Amino acid sequence: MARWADLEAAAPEIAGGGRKIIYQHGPGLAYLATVRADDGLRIHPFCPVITGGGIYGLINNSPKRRDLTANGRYAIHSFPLEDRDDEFMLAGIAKRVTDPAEVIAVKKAYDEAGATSGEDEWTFEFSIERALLSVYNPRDSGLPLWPPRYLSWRRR
Amino acid sequence: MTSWGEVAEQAPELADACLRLLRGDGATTAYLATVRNDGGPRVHPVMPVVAAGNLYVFVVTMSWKYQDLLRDGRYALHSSPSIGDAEEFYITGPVRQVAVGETREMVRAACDQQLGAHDFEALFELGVDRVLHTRWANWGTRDAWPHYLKWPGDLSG
Repeated sequence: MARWADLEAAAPEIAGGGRKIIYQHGPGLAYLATVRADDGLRIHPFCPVITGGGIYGLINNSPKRRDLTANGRYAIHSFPLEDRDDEFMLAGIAKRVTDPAEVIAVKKAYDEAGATSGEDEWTFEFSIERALLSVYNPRDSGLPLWPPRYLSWRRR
Repeated sequence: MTSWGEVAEQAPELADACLRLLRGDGATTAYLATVRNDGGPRVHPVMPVVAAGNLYVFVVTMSWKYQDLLRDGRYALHSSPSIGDAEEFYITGPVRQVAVGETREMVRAACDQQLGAHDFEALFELGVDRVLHTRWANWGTRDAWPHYLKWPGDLSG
């Protein structure tokens, strides 16, 4: 399984663009899609945190945490930008982090980014099987808005 | 397949709350999750249209999400974020592809012809299995607490 650091090393433009979109509002923000026990889908916003070479989420006691615990399958999609339609998506498998030092380090980075916590979260790391960055011209640039430039990466 | 219009008849307060966010004008973004061929999820933006009380999306036929919807037909749709606003909803259910004809023209009219001008824009009606609307009290604090509206009423998980 690839970590965020592997994406940064193999595809720095994708990782750099993705990091900017995720942190555009201060705390990390994105959508998290998970797979329910009946194989249907669920989607909710959450606060990803990139630290120590990984991308993580602190997930409270909720249906999406049950999904991640049961099967781990996820997709992360960025929130929209104000002036352009750039998109960033990751997909792969999430796994709960149980190492106390790693949990503490992630929580520290999460708090420092300005995210709020209910103190009952579990920490999950999102391993990356595929990443996609779509880069558009700004809406007011007068340049064509379609098609975007697609940058993609898949774990080998 | 239960239509959005049927949900709105049964749960008008919930439907109104969702439509305030969704708008359904073909110009407001929401996020559509689909099922990839390996069973994992995929997410992309779409611009839903509400026409004659039902819910539709145009999806370009060269996209992966179009292939997902043809193969699997299940989706989840989440409202676009409004930073600082403590309200959101999501819908899940099956899709049904809509053939060229009167319904497609009605949907195009409902979005002022902004969408659906091209043959490669396939039209899907979004059916509804569950709806969850969340309004957060004390948003952005450690005391944030959700208030839910759900359909069906016994929805859990």
